[in-house]
Amino acid sequence: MSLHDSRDADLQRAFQSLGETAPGPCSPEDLELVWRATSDELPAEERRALIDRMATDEALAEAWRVAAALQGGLARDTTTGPARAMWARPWMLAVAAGLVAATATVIYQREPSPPPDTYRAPAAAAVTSLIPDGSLLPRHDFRLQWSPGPEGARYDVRVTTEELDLVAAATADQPEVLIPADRFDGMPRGTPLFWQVETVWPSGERRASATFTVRVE
Amino acid sequence: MPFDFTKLRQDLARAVQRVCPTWDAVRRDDLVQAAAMRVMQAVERAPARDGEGQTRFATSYLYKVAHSVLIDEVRTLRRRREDELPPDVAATVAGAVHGPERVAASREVGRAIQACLTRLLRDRRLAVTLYLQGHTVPDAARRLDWSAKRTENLVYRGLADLRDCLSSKGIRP
Repeated sequence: MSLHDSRDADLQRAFQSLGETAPGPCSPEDLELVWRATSDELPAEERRALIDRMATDEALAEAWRVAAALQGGLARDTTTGPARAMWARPWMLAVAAGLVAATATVIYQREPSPPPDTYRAPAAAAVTSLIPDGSLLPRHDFRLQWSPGPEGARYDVRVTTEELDLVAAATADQPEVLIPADRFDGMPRGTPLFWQVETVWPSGERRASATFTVRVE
Repeated sequence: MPFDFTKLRQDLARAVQRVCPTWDAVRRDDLVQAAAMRVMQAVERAPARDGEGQTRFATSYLYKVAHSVLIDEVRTLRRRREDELPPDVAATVAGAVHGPERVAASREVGRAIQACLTRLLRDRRLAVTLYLQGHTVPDAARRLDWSAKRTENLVYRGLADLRDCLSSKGIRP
């Protein structure tokens, strides 16, 4: 038997056809995980755990196929540049940044990096959320927190609904922002919200974070 | 730079083709149109950062929104089809393109595949699942963070295990 056997197409078709009869939709948390996994934002072991679940969860498998197709299109987008090289995965860059800070000597990378410059945004990843994705936050203490950027940075934060209705926009000079409770008036408990942080370096350069998800209590 | 909705529609069309290959072109186009409209309306409602009408949203952010919108639209259209057609007619429609027996047999095989996957060794199951999802071996290797050679071996052995298991159930796809 070799791979790409003609019977493989039948197996693929049969497996994928189960999406038509999935008993229920993916949860917002799972949709978030799928998107992050297909954009290489999840660590490898978490990706594998998600793939393991896909084997018997047809809704998850279908969400993955949609995400993979859209991510492929995103990678072909000339405005964002080519698909990120493997070394540019955020969690790998966080480790690399830690090595630079600790040793400041030779760092093994698959691609050459620009010379260090304290005034320009480094090739490292943007900030990451300190709140687990999908967390339920109290509406009277809706505090978003993220990993700090460099000294002197400021942060532009946007919170939207899934339909991209703006809930709040704020600028902060600390890696934390409290969203007023009245912004959630009328929202049912558990409403999912997207948020994103754009770090503004002292040089004026901007770097947007990944999109994170929380829910309002 | 303004968001490229034409490209988004093309990418949505590719995604719909992957998820709903048995749907006719008209239904797939309706789905793409509905999803694209929802993303477009959301962008148009959002205020611009600098008042010049340029979208503030990164492309990746909008594609993520498109992902959840498309999933939602697919389920809505499927539910609508189930609600609007009597079961026997729905089955006839489903089988019209691919034959009712073939549709039912394909799903039976799909269920058997799921059952057999649970019996594979974990690493083989991961590799085979991605292969069944349509990923090439190199792409699966990248996503699993394993070497290409190891992944190829896992897919090869995993598919052999899978076919043995299906045969034991009387299924030979």
